[in-house]
Amino acid sequence: MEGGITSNQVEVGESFQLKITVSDEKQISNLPWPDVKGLEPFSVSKNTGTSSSSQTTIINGRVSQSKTYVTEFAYTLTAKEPGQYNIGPITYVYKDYSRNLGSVTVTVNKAVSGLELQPRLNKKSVYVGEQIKYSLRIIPKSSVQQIRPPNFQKEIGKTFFMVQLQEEVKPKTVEIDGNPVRVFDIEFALFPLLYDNVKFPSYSLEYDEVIAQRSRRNSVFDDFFGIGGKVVQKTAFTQPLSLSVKPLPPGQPEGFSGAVGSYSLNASVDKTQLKSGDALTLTVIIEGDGQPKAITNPILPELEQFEVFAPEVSSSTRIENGIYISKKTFKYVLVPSRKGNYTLSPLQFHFFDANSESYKTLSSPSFEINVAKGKEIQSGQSRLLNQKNIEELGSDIRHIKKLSTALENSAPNLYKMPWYWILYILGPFCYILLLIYKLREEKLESDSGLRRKVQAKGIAKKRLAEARKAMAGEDSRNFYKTLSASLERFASDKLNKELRGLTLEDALQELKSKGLSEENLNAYKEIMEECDMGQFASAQKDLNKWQNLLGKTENLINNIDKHV
Amino acid sequence: MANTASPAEEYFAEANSYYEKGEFEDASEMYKKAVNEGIENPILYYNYANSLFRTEQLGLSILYYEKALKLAPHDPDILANLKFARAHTVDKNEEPEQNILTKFLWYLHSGYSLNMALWIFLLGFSLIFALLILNLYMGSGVKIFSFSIIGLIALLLIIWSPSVIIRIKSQETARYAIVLSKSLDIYSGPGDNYQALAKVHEGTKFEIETITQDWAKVKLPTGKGGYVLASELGKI
Repeated sequence: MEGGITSNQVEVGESFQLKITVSDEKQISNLPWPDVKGLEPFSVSKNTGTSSSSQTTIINGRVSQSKTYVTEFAYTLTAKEPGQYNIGPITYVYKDYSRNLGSVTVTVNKAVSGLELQPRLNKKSVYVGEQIKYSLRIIPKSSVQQIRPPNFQKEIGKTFFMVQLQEEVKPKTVEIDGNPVRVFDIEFALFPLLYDNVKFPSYSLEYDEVIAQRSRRNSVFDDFFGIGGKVVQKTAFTQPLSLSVKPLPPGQPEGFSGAVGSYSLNASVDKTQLKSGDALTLTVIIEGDGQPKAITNPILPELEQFEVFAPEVSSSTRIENGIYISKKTFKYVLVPSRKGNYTLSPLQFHFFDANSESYKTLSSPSFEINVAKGKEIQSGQSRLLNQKNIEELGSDIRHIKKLSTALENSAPNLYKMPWYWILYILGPFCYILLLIYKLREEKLESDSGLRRKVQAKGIAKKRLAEARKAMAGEDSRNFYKTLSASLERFASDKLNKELRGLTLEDALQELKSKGLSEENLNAYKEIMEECDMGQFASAQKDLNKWQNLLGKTENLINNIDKHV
Repeated sequence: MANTASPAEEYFAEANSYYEKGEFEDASEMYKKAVNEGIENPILYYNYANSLFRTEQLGLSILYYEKALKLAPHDPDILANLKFARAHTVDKNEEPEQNILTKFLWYLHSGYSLNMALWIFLLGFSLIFALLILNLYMGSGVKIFSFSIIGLIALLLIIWSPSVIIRIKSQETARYAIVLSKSLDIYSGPGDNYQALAKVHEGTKFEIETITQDWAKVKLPTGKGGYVLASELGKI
């Protein structure tokens, strides 16, 4: 195990490395980092890597090969302040192995080369929304090649609305101690968003510097080829600054929009004499050094006899003597509705004057407007009255509501209810059902044979019911007559034959040809013969026999219905 | 007779009484308790938002006005108070002005509740089949007339259906949130080591695209987007 530093004499902002290597015959992944004390005065970035090397040795003719794995732990350190620092003790502990590498002393000298940074705030204490200027002067030495400033928007923009005062940072020459010096000035106008004590920490600027390196001491070529050099990446740090941001005092006037600084208001009208229905333009210009968003629409006086249209607003910014100034122009179009002499009362704009630490109100002059009779404007034809909008926003929130029913969850979304989608099926289902019924009706209408066939069983059932009634009334003649008629009618309907003229033999033959079994044919014949006998011979009233005959007829009708 | 009011109703009534007396802090606490009972009611959300606005919790009050509006999209009181509260935010993220045509189309799309749209759609659909059934038993003269009515209704439903589908889809997928902290940075990536793109303030409304761990990918109505800390947002 070894350790060392690349340089023990460095300057503030100059980076150097502390390297600790651990060697082992076995490859071990995820070795722990060493424990290094005394790194607090430095900004530290860490890096690690593993390499391997093989060695072959021949001793007394014996060849042996060994492989070593080296893990390097590199700390890139940059000192922030000059002084003598002790880095260590450096200890390494891994399982049973532990070693103390001792410590090393590094002398950090004040930077004699590179960048000199001069950060400055033009005020130590401000109010929320008041403009302050943060400027950073960078004085590079001639050996500095490239400067990389930090992302100020990210660093400062969290607590401030900020605007960079130059579009491009260009070098300029200033006189310092009677000598011309090349400098870069970066300036920001800042507007605090919240009141607090704000710290501007030490920001780091990276830069490249060419360090002189004499390749041949006193060589005759030095003058001709110049001095050799290497580019070193360095870091410079700004001094931290602090700022106190105070809240605005109470007593804000109504309509105060948060404008802090010094402001001016100018108002003018393009004409003072016009006819009713014609338009005049009231132009209001407000400018000041507060936050640009703080300039809101000025407060208009009551203008009952005028229609006021939404203003056309244009804004611009400029930098004047290093101060960021924003300007907004509001152009109101006013249309008098009736003739008369009117006074446009002054418009007002409130702001907080940080110098006098008081709220101030800017007012425009009042304007006398003479309106002659012209085009009358009907009431109700009013065109987008801007004042009405202002009234709406300027009023209070609407009051709370009372419940007329119990406090319960509001109606759920209909599309999440299964029954809602089932209702969609209802319409098509009814339609299809009725369509099928209608088609069937039409078919029966056009085919009388089919109709007889379809209706046969219904008619037979009715007849059998009549027979049952006759049986209950012990009307023997009527019973047999109805029974035989029902069977005969049923057969003629099913066979689509005229009832008249359909003899028993014809019926049996037709039924046979339709595939009715012999057993059923016999049953048909038996029932018909028995009915004939019963009708014409005065048979005894035997209810059991009638019941059997009725049952037999019902069975037969069912069988014929199935097969024919 | 026993008191049948639920705990949420008791909190609600108590909160209303505090509000009437101008004790907005206590009213807000009581409304919060009612909300915590799990009741999703537009009037409860609206009253709670009012008490939050009174106690200068602008972000939360806008969040609850938005929640109330989601349940009762056309309530004029909710719309008015939401507009009023929005006028107090630092960021003016108002949606661009619409011309008459887009206003009209927007009204056709969302000028009524989704449930009402769904009822009208079902009614139109059922009417088509009712007329078809009627046609089965009507003469040819009536048939021609009713078929043109059926065609017209079907055409209107076909044209209108994308609007209803979009509304259902956005109800299911679109997620919005309100900035609850005083200010919030939008970064180009999910972490504060990325470039800060913009700063937004309490009450600003975002559309949430995705949420990965602590960071939410969001989009402002202006189209600007980026990543913000999800813990600083309140989901509508």
